Amino acid sequence: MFSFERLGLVFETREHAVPTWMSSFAQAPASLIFDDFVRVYFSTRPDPDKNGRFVSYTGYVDLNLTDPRKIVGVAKTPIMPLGERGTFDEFGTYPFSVVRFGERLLGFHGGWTRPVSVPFAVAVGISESFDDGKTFKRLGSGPIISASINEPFIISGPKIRIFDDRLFLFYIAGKKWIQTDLLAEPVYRIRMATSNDGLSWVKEDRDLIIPLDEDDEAQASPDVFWHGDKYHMFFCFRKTLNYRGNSGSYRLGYASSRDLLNWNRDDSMINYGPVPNSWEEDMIAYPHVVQIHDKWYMMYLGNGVGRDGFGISRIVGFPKSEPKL
Amino acid sequence: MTWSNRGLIFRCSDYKIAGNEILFAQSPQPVNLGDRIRVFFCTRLRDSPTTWISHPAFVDYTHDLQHVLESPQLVKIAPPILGSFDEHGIFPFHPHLSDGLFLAYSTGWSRRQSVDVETGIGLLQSFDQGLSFVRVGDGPVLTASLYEPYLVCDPWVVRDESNWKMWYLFGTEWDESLDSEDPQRVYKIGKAESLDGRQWVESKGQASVPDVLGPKEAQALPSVRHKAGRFEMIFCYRPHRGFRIPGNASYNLGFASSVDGNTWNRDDQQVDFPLQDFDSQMRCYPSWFTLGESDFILYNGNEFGKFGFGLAQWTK
Repeated sequence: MFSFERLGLVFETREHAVPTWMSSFAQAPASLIFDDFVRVYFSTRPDPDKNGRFVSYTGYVDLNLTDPRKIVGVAKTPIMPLGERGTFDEFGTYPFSVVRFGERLLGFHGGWTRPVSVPFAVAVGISESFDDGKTFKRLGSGPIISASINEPFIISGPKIRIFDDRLFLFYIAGKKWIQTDLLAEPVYRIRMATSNDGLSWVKEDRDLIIPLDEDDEAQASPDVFWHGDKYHMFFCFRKTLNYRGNSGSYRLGYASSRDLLNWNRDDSMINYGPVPNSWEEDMIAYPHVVQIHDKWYMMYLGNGVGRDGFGISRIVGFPKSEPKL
Repeated sequence: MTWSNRGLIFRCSDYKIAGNEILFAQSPQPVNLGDRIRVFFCTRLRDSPTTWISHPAFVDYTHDLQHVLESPQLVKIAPPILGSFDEHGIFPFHPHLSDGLFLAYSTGWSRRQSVDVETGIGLLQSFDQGLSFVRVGDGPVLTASLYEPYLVCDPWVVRDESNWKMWYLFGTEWDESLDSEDPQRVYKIGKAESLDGRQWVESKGQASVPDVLGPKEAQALPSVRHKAGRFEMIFCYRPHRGFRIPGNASYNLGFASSVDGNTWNRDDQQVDFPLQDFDSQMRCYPSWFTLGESDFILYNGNEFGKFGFGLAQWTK
């Protein structure tokens, strides 16, 4: 079982607010390690428009390497503007994930637009930074991973990784929208695609993680890392219906794999629950695991899926390796 | 040698469909079923007092396309799932028969808030000669990509020994230069290739056919045939502004040919033929086909096919 030491809400959005793009939320933390600091990208929002609709930008905060509770810098502008009219990311760039790919710095983001029948549509875009990660330029105005015959909508939550010199993109894909009295709610699952160059991708085209409840589970934030003798995936999941602010809300899930293709789900490996009367009392969501020098950390979201900011825990214990047969 | 205009061969007002008047018969596309020519087209069903859903239908003709054998009927397709790429209609609908399979490539429409629509290309299969179709999947086989950011639509598939080729449209711009109009679509013809008809590699923003009205010329419905080592395409094109206003320049037919399917030479004079009343202001959504020794174009006339579709025949 993993064990943790909670370090608290490290980035509190309102303390760094810039009204034009960052009033609340710091969602889906994703790290990039530099020599002198660790940069954590997150997605944030200005106040909603008069109809209550949000847009989402991505920014970053730089943290001290030895004590990531200490903030050493905050982005002054979003890393990229919203997309042009009619494009897939016209109303949001969230989440964002970044990787050093040779000499290049590639970013992948969920792009949000507004259909009429359902609240949102999402596809994944690609961008590149030429200024050490301060800003990112789209490689094209369309998405790099979009809907396909078995992934009809909500291609979102990209997490880009490199294993054995290959690019792996873990993401989620929608399976169906369920219409409720109030609004439509999506069911989505964790998927994967691979690439050698970042531009040409092959989808694995199947769900990686077996749901606990076939019809009523939404999985998100598939965060994969290698430790010990296998791959580990932290993710989060919630009920599709009746999840807001109660027991159906986001919790952490866990799976492990030897080959990145076959995953054994065992959520009991992470016993990390909400804390009453705190910023993380309703949910634990969007985990991201990072090794900084010799220490391991989990960055994550609490109430309102990161409405107040993001927090960090130090991973102080890993499960024992299984004996080799 | 030229095309002779045989006029409006399908007049919407002559028929009813599912008991209702026929609103539009757009993008006629035929298949030869042996004992008849089945012409698929897309009609419109109202889903509110101000909005339409396009839906495929068909009407059966004798081989000379002179006589309707059976009244038009709607193609049976299960309702789309909520939020899918084709939830607000299918138009155009491209039947494709090969290897004993009765397939159709659809353009699915879904409404958007900031622009009026987004589209994608879907795949369906029929097991009853086109009376009904089932989706091969709920998602599109081709949709927006890095260099083709929106409005992927109007598929036309040609299969040869080595692979599947699809000519289609991709959007290059939502043109906002006109204050008086909503953003208007600008699209170009691209080519995608596939080994199985399901997984396609798109043209990466490379327009196939040169334009004659400048970069904002919108091209549509590339109907392609491969004959005697040459690809030939009849399509339609229009200016980017004012084309919906009767009396203005709107869609006309274009022609292009190619040896390799990649580099095209444009020669619109090949499809210049006399006008009739029904196509006096507009010609659009052509479908080129060969029956025996004869070549035909089925196409729409004024008001984007509101009144039906017409026929031109190649005469030696």
